[in-house]
Amino acid sequence: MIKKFENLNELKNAIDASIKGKGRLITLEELLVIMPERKVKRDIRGILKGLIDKKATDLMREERESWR
Amino acid sequence: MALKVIDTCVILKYALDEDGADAIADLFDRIRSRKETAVIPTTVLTELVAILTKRNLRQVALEIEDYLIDLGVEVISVNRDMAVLAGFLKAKYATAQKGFSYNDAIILALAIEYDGEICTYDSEFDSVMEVKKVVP
Repeated sequence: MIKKFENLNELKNAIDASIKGKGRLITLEELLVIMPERKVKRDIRGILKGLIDKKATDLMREERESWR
Repeated sequence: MALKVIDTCVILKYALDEDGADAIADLFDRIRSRKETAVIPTTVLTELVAILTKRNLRQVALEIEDYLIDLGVEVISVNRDMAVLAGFLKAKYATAQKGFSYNDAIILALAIEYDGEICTYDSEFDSVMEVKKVVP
């Protein structure tokens, strides 16, 4: 069972305790759980709006016809 | 939660802000926050870039690619096993229905290899038996 640290401070305290021999070792999995969300530069939602006059599925199917 | 193989139409739908984009935004949020895992085969990238470059939107294509990578969508190269499996699937479904394209077959092979589900709006996958088809 992986403990989910709620925030960095909670993790820091757990690591400090571990270093001082008062706590258990923190696993890599636990570290990964609290890794911050990825930062995305710019949202692409609607980036093609007004640029293409076709539906997404039609665009894709049309392209896939050439793969048949 | 099962790994999702994202189809090209999902990405395009979001970029076109069509109906359903809200659900895709939620999916992308879950991927960004690592609550879901998503992959695309390299061929989906090829397709996306081809569709947009044909319409003089090369730069937008590259921006979308960047976005997907930043989001945490993993791009998977088609390996030997996947290529062979895709060939079998292409043949199988080409005879069963109107036609299964090579990219359809590669997407399906990837979903099988990774024990995932196909995230698509495309009805071509409706009769697929090997994996589950889901919409965002």
